[in-house]
Amino acid sequence: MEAFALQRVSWLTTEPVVDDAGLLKRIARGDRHALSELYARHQQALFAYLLQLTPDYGLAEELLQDTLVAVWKSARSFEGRSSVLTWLIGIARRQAHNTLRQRKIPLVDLTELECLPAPDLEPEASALAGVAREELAQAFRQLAPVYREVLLLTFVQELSYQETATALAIPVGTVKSRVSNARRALRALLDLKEDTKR
Amino acid sequence: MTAQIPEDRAHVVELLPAYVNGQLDAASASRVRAHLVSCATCQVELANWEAVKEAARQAFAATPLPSAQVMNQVWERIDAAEQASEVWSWPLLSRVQAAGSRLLMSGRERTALARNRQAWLHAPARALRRLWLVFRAQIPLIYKSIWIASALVCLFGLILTVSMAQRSAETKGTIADIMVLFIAVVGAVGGAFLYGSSVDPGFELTIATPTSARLVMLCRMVIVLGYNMLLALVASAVFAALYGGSLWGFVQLWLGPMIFLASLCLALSLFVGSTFALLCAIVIEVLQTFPQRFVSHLVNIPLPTLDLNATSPALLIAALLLLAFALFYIPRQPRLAS
Repeated sequence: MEAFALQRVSWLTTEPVVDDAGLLKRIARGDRHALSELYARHQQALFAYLLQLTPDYGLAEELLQDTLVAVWKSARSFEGRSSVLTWLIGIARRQAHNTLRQRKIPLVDLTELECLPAPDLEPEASALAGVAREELAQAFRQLAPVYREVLLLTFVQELSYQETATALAIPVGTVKSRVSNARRALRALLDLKEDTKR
Repeated sequence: MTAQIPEDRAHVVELLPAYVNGQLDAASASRVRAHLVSCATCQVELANWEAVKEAARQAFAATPLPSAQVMNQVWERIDAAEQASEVWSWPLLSRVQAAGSRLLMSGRERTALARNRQAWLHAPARALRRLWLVFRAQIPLIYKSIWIASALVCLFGLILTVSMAQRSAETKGTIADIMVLFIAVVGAVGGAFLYGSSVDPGFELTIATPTSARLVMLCRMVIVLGYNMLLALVASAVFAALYGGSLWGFVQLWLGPMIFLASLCLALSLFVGSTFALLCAIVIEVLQTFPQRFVSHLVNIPLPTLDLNATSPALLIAALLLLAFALFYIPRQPRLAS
């Protein structure tokens, strides 16, 4: 609805389409419309990312607000070394980690990490190709937040490993291993489900 | 796994996630495509990664959108934060801005062009307001004893010089020098206890905020120096009223030394410590006052004679250099603020 209203405004004013970095420059100058537009462009990506970190819809909205307030305050500090989406996800991640830490909500399920099969197993051990879509989607929802976030950023937002590493403030090597581990964790969750069926 | 396989037949397993995401450069992508045609293992791997991508996409597609109220709540928070920081110091301006904000809130369909212009007009005012807020916020954070100590030293100097003039037949020049000594020490006290962890009750607070420590120190310097100058001006007016003579002529005697000693003490207090800085300033001021007037004919000590007792361009330049040095010595953004 709001996105529609914004489209209408830009049509009425016949303004040229500004890229994300241009919007951030305008936000740094105190332009409220620019923040609304940036939000309209990235709200789904940001909210989906935050929902990977917490299943609580209300908390995710609160974190989204924190992120936008932080963007308003720190738009000036964007230096263009990464894409705007990478920068926004980085801010969302920091806001989420701070809040979740303060409220003592764990981000990583360590037991799930320990249950993973060893990485040197055959590829068949993490085969997913023949699995039904619904089963796979269900397993994805059960993954640890660290895996869901890395899969979302690389496979849905299609950020490069380098950009994902920047957004998550981790080394590129960790992104690569986390992507591989996430796939094995998916397989492990599916196996666990099959075992319980028997 | 791929070590024994010749280069042209090497598996491309590690490249497949990036290939699925379209993140490979053209050369790598064509190499992967060529390899996939004849390699069943990598075809299975590709299918596995595509399944992962599909699962992630499905999860994303199933994600609900945030409520339509998010932006309104964001504006409320931004407005509340801005008004809280502005309403105290800029009642009129903040009312104007609040009215502007309400307009923006209620009529978001108004042209973006008009808002841009408003944002541009507000930018310098925002910067000025922020500077004023930082400046004002320093007053309660400055070491409280500075205010009392400076006033007491100044008052003591005035009483001493008045009583000296009544008891002995000291020349007006001598009495003026004594007064200048006290006023310069007042300046030194201000500089020495202006900034630093040992004497500064608000230091932790200062370095925990994102405001530049240099700006904080400069604001404090202006406040304390301004206060000390005001005290010295009052003392000078009393002095001039009692002994006659030009007020400006007397002010020129202490203005340079006061600024110089305050800057020197600030720099020394950052490097060594506040007490050391104050002692240095007192020694310098005594050395340049007493050999000329008393010490030389009481005891024959060959003390160095410094020419600080005048407002000379060289002294002011030295003061500026010391201040600049102090400003660059402290980090612009302390670690705690990050």
